[in-house]
Amino acid sequence: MAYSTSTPAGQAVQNILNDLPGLMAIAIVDISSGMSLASHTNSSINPDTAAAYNTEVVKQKQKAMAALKLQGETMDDILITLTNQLHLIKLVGEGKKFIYLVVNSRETNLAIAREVLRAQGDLLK
Amino acid sequence: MGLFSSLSFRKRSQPQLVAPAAPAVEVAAAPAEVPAPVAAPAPILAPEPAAAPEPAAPAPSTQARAQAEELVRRVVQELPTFITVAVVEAATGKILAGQWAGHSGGALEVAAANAEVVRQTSQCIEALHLTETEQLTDILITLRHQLHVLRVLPQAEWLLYLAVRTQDTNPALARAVLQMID
Repeated sequence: MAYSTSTPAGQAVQNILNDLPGLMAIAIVDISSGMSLASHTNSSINPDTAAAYNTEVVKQKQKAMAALKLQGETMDDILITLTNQLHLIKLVGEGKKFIYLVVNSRETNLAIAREVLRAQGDLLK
Repeated sequence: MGLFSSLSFRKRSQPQLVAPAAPAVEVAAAPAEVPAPVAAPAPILAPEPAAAPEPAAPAPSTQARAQAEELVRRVVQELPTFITVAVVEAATGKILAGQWAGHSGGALEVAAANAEVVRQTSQCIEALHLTETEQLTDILITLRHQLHVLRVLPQAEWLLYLAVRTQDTNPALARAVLQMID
């Protein structure tokens, strides 16, 4: 358990764990540093390693969007589908942070995962 | 003589075997069948040691392009309201086939950047030691008004990049179509 519920990020992790007790890993990540502000894991996945790598995924997609020169577009989330897992990256706090959630795709689908994360977005402004 | 020189040009990349003498005679006898020697291109490449150490992007074969175009065509057929459908070579980010509903400005850059997104994600999966049990299927990116789907195609090192408007296509539908395609 790498979080303290006295911070907004820690509180968000706690809330998400309450909603999805079977989640595999969760982290609230600061994009400028690639470090997690709060994290928790119930599996072999190291959420801090994932945070660092996924920060690059987000930055790279932002680059792809910049190349498209889209007006008035922002990225809401990135869903990575693996054989048995879903990795969801939800951008919050005006794109300065993201919530990273790993769940088993047999137990949780995209709609549930999104719903749970949406509720925490406001907390992390 | 003219015929013979055009033949030797065609066969330039072939190792110097004794064999070419025989087809040369055949072709000289029947000039209408000049394309015939091309029919066996496979052994031409194999004994060329100089070309082997350089994996740098050999030009995609026309067959690969045709296959890529067919994939694009099928996606477009299912999702006629698309913004972009493209088949991209994962290793290089090169576009093999693609259709753009609007302007295609920056398409090359976008394809390369998206290939990089997939590469980064694969690296992440490796770093997390998930590769034994998990394989990357697709990446869905939700923007305010658009959905982007990057699907790793199983038959080759290709990506299918699809962009649609969220008002026209929902994520489940976009993924279902791409699943059906391959």
